[in-house]
Amino acid sequence: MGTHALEVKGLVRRYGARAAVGGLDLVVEEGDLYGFLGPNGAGKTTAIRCILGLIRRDAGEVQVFGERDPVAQRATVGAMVETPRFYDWMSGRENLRLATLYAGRGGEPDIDAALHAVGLTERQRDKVRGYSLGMRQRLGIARALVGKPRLLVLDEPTNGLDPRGMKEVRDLLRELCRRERLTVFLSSHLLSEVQSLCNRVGIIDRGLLTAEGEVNALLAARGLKTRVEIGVTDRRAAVEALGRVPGATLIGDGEGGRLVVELDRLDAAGLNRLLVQAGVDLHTLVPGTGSLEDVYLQATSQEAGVSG
Amino acid sequence: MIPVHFPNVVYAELLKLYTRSAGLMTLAVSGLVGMVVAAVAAWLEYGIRTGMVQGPGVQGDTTQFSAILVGDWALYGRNFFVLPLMLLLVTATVVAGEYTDRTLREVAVRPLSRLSILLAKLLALLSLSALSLFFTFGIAFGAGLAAFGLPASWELLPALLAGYAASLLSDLAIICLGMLASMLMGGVGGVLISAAFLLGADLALRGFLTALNFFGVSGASGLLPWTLGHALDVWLGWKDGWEPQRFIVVVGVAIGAFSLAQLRFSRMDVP
Repeated sequence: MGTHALEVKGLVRRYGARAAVGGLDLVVEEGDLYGFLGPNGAGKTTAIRCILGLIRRDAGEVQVFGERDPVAQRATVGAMVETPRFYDWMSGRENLRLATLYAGRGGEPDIDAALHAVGLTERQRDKVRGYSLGMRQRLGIARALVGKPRLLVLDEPTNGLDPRGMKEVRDLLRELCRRERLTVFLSSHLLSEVQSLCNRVGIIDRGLLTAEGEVNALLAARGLKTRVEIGVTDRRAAVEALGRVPGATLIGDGEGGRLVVELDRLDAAGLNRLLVQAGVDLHTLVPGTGSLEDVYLQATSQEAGVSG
Repeated sequence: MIPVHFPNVVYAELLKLYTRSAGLMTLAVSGLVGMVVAAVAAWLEYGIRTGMVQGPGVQGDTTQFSAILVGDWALYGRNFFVLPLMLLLVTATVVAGEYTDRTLREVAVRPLSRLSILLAKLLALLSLSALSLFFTFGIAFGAGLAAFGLPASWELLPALLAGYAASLLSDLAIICLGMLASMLMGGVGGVLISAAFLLGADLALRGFLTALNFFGVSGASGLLPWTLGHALDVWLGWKDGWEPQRFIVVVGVAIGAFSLAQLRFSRMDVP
C-alpha cells in the first residue's frame, strides 16, 4: 500500500452471519473530494465507522497517509458520523473547545476560524440545546475542522440543511479542498450533490465497492455521457450554437425552460466557454444527475457480487 | 497508550463533569450533608443542655459536642447511602450516559486510546469524590467550630481525617464498579439496577455467613471481612481499627473492575 490519503483493503465487518461490509477496497488520493455513494443499508456508515476505528473490523486494513496505527491515524482525521451529537448544556464554542482538548491540537483562533467557516460566529455563545438541526449539522462540520485535520470524513454532511445551507456547505468543502489542500471523503445519497462536488466517486452496494473512479471516467467506461442543464437568455441562438459545438448534443428540455445537453469529451466549463465564444450568454448551468444516476443504478443493481 | 496531551483530556472531562447538573448536585448534597449534620448536632446539644431532649438514651448523656464529633457524624452521613449512590449515578451518566446519547463517539474519533479515555474519566470522577469529601468535612467542621467553639482536644482529628481519606478508596471502588456496570449494561438505569443486585447479593452473602457462624460452622466469621459491603466501609477503621482485609478487598475490587471495564471498552463498538 502506498501513501494515499486513505486506503482501505479487504475491509470486512460482519453482524452474525451477515456481512455489512464484505471486503471493501477503496483509495482516496490526497486532495480528492471523494463521494461515497450507496443505497440505504449498503454499508456506507458501517464502513466509515470501521475506518475511524469506532467499531472493530473482522478483517482488512486501513491506512491513512500511510499510517497503520488507528490512534495515530485519527490525529490527521476530522470526522462527522451521522447526526452529530453534542454536550447540549454547553455552548457551541465550548463544544469546539472540548474538541480541541481531545484532539490535542488547535486553539482559540482555530475555533474562531471553524465557527466563521460554517457561519455560526453569531450564535457561538448559545447553548447547543437551542440549536436547530441545520445549526447542529454545521457545528458538527466545524468540530470536524478543528484540530487541523488533513482528511475530513463526513457522513451525510448536508443532512437536515435547507437548500441555502447545503450550498454553503458544498462551497465550504470546495474551498477547503482548494485552499487547505484538505482531502474530503464524504458519504451521501444525493447524486446531484456528489456529481457537483466530487472529483471521484465510489459506489458501494451490499458491502462491496461496485464502481470507483473519476465521474467522467465512470461515465465513459459505461458508454454514458455527462449531462448538464443550461439556462440561456436567447434560446434560439443557443440551439443554433449547440449544433456547431463539437462534443455537445442537445437532447431535450429540462426544468424551468432550461436545455438539457449531453457532453462527450467536453466538461461543463468547456461548454460554457464555447457557447460564450459563440455569442450565447448563459445565466444558469446545472450539472445533470441523469448520467451519474445511470452509473449508480448499474452499480447498485447489476454488479453486486456479495450477498447481503 | 497514554498520549502526551492526556492532561488536556482530563481537563476536558473536568469541564464536562463540573458543568453537568449531576456533578454539581453531588457537590451541593455533599455540602448539605455537612450543614444538616451540624444543625442536628447543635439542636441536640441545645436540647440536652436545656432538658428539651429527654429519654433513656439521653439521660446522663456524656457526649462531648465538638467540631470533631460533627465531622465524624458527617462522615457517617456522607457515606450512608446518599453520596455513594450519587457517585454511582454520576459515573453512570459520564460513561453509560455518553455511550447511549452517542457523545462518546465524538471522543472516540479523536487520537486517543480507549484506555486513556476511560482513565481520564476515572481521574475526573475521583476529583469529584475528593471535592465532595472536602465539602462535607469543611462545612461540617466549620459549622461545628461555629456552634461549639474550638475542641477541647485535637487528638482525634488526624484519625478522623484518615477516615475521610479512606472514604476516597471506597469511592474509587464504587466508581470503578460503576464503570464496569456501564460497559456491561450500556445504560444509566442498567447500572443502577446492577448495583442494587450486587449490593443485594453481598447482603445475602453476609447474611448467609452470619447464619453459618451462628450454627457454629468454623471459618464462616473469618470470611465476613472479605465481603464487598464490609470492605466498602473501610473508612470506619478510623474508629474501629484499620483492617487490612478491607483495604485489600477495596483496592482489589477497584483494580479488577477498572481492568475489566477497560477490557470490555477496548473491544466494544461505539455507536
